[in-house]
Amino acid sequence: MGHAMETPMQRGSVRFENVVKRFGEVVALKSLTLEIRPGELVTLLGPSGCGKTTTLRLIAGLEAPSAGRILIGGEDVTHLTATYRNVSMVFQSYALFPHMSVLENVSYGLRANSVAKAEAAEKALEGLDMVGLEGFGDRLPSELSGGQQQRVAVARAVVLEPEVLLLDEPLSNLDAKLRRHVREEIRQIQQKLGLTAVYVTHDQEEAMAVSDRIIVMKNAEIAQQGTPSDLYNAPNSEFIADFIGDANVLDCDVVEVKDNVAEVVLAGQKLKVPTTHAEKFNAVLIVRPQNVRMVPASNKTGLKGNVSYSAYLGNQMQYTVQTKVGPMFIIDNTMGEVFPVGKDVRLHFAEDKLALVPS
Amino acid sequence: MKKTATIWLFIGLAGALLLPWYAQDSGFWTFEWLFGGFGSAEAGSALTLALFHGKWWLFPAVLFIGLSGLGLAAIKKHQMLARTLIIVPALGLFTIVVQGFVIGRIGPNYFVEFLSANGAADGQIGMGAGALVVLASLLFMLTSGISGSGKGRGDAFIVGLIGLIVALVAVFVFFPVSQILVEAFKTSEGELSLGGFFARIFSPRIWSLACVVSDSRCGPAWNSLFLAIMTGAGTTLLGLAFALIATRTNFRAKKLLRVLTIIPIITPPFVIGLALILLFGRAGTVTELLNEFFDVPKTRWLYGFWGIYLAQLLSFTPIAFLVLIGVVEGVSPSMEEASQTLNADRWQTFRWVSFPLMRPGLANAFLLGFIESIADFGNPLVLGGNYNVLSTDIYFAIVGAVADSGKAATLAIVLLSLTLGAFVVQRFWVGKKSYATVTGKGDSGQHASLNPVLRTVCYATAIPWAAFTAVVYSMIIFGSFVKLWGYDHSFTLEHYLRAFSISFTNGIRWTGVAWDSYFTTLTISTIAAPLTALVGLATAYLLVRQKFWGKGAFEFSTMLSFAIPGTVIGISYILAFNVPPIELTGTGIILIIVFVFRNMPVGVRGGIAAMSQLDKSLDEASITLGANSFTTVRRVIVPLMGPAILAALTYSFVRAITSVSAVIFLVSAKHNMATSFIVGRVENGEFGIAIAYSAVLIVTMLTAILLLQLVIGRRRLRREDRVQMHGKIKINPAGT
Ligand SMILES: Nc1ncnc2c1ncn2[C@@H]1O[C@H](COP(=O)(O)OP(=O)(O)OP(=O)(O)O)[C@@H](O)[C@H]1O
Ligand SMILES: [Mg+2]
Repeated sequence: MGHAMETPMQRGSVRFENVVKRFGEVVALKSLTLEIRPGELVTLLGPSGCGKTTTLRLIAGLEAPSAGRILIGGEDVTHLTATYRNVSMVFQSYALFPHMSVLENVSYGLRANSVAKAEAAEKALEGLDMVGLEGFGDRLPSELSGGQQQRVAVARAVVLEPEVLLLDEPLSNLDAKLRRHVREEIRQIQQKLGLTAVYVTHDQEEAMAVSDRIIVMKNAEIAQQGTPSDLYNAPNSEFIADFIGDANVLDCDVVEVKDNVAEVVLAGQKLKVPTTHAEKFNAVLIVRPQNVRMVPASNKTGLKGNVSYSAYLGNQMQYTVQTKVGPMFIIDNTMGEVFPVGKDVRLHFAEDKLALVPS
Repeated sequence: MKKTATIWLFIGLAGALLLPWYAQDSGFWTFEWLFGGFGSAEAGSALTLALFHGKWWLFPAVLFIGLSGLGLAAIKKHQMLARTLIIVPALGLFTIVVQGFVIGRIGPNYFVEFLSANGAADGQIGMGAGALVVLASLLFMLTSGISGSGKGRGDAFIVGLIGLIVALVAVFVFFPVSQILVEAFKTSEGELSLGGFFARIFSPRIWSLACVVSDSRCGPAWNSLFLAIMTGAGTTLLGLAFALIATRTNFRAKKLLRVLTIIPIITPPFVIGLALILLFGRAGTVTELLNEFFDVPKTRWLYGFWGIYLAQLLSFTPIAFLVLIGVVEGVSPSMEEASQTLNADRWQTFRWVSFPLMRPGLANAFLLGFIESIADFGNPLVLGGNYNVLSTDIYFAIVGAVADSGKAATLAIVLLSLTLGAFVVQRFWVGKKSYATVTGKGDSGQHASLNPVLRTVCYATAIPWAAFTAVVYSMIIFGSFVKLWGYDHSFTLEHYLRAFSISFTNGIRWTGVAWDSYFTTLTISTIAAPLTALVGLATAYLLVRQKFWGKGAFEFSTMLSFAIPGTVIGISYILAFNVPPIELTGTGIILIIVFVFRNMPVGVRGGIAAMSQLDKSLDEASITLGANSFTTVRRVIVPLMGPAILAALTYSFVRAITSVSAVIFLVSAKHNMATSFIVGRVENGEFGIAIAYSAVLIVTMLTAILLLQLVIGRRRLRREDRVQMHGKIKINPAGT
């Protein structure tokens, strides 16, 4: 690599170069390389134990990498401890200091960075205003609701105007409705201040809703990264397809690949599916439930099937259809013809919206 | 790194150039050395002594400070500077320590010919303020170098703290204990010999089993061991009975039980022994009564195994109770309820579920009783008679007709091996098997109540025992107010007056014989308590919150001094600190130091327990907000650790007042302690004054505990006041 890669980076960028983290025998991260651009909100998503929290703590400086380099704002911070990194973090447990008032909590970081008391208090009050907690400054954390505590934790982290804001499952202690509200608030604040943010969550819907970019991790590695629509429409593996949204994964034969289009045979049906591969490969077909249209069995074309389950959800119908290639989950939100259980049908695919992933 | 190192550089320079290198006869704080000038032979600094008084071996002190300074000024590259600051101060520390040991008080200890010919023939005295400052400066430059080198995660404060505690434990625990080993290897001619060492360690004088087969006495090692096993078993059973009553029955006076457990902790060591003598001695009340009504002959049965055993059961049962009540409470009620829903009856539940869960705790309590008993000094001293145990034999080897430090050292090693053995067993065997059944989840079930048979057994042992304890303590009060126990029971204040009278002619004069030692004790305990709490809690902080290389060994070594009996510590301090390079015997400082390092493990344990309950993300939040470790400790951890600090303070204060075993070797005419004063009275048979003094000590400690609770308890109250206010008053944020 050398110097060619070290183009001057702007404030707020984060770069991992081949970062490895081991805890004794356990390998929590295998050679991670990633890049986060200034002002971007990136979500780390993945199953439990895949190394999301570890990645976050490495950015914060709470853990030291076993190997590799970490750069923040273009500067090598690998050996800098958390105190000296311009990064702040919102903890899952909030970690509000219970013996300090809300105002003292929010001004803590400013005071630790030698901001004069009056100025620190002023900024802290602005911070509280921003998260909609004006007038709560003198309460103790124990006198606030969960959602309010959450917002104090956010205010405490953002008043420092950090280069990077880290959030580790910040919403996991809130109920479903509040989650939605607070996540929108966090997103707004992040965009208003132009902060770089790294957000960890389990919840793929939450990730899709707030992120500019999603990094999906699996087994201590990056499985795929990209915008929410990249991941949804062009998953690179069965794991991603299944993890991001619902998908039917079907066995198929790839007959030929030409000009980014693969000719695929699915139980005798010929389909033309977009692909990035240049040559023939072993693949499975990813079919999103809403990319299948059901037509009556009287149609001459389409995959034959039999409805084994149907449910009415008000704005959509959900079906399970038994076919030669296995059961398929299908969503119909046109609310057109309703097919009862036991009925024979034919299935038509929206071919340009299908995806092939290596099996 | 640079800032910290520069500060320490200047401190070190002052130490090497201006402060007197050697200890001053008149003491440092009299500042007489200022007038002698730093050019004189007595009060010279390292530099002037080396230049003008031929003590060339002090040059390295100046040299390595100077080199570090050069490095700081000249080296710009960070990594290079860090490496320099590791190597140069380390070499400095090494050479200073080496010269201290090589050149002793009466001349060189090693390389005798060469050094005698080169100006070291007269030797040198112990190190003083200058040396201390130079060593500290080198140590902290070294640690700031380590933190700067990027190895490990600690900032300068953390690495400095680790360095400091490692250095303190090395100097005040490992070094003295190693001196015992050296002493035990020496033959009577002063040569080191391995064969002689083994001959003495395994001598039949220590290990004889003669008492099993004949009337002769057994060796003190077997006596100590037997006593310790009996005491461990006895205290565990009694403690369990109390614990079961306190948690599993509707016994009315549970509060009283708790009080009963605190009293022995604030009881000076001889008090129980004395009270037993007043009851069961040849002139004791019970002995007299039995003699009068049942013609039981008056014997001296109390002086020997049974006396010590009884006294130790009385002294250490409360400790077992404290351990076991946690264990019994820790068995989750939901587990017992689960067992009952599976149709087990109460006895089966106890036998199959509760008891197996408690077993590791019971083993813990047993080993604690074992260690306490084997280290106990006060009770065997008063009640031992012909039953020799190791801890008192060590004392008599030193204070006997001929002081035999070799014999004392040998006995000390045997004693140390026994306690360390128990300690190691406890850590590696029992420690692994404990089932943590106390979780963060709220457990709302009810403990199964005891079955009737077991309950009767518990009551039948615990209640008479509690009554007995009460009698023993009332004896103490009573005994201090009568003329001569057993002979003349008329009321008198004589003992209190002799000990604590004050004369008001010519201003206030403290004429009582006890005042001297009383004031010394209070002063020393007051200084030692906060230092103990500080060292203990700082160590706990490092253990719970920091990761560093060698942490396991670090933890083990800080806990080690808990397993070292007081007598062993006492003798090791005499051996280690009676000669240069560190001469401390006869000063008050050595008393303070011995308390700090003896009581530190309790501070560490308490601190660990308290800190483990503080969510780690609180520290991490503070750190990521840009605060350094020092600020985090000061503003987040300390304020949240109030109760642990209180406990550590109280405990170390009380222990400093009541401890005797280590202290008795280290007191001097100028610095006498209350307990050693009492030993003197007991040895003279002046029981009245000894008991009166003990009563005053108990009152003193109770007062101190209450005061501490008031001072530290107050702060929390204020917070609660504020909490309440805010519920009602609407706050105007702009006004803040
Ligand atoms: N301090 C530690 N010591 C040992 N192993 C650790 C430590 N911290 C994390 N690990 C291990 O590293 C791996 C990654 O952990 P990490 O906390 O990053 O997972 P995560 O993706 O945040 O999971 P979750 O979604 O459950 O929070 C796990 O296998 C975990 O057991
Ligand atoms: Mg996690």
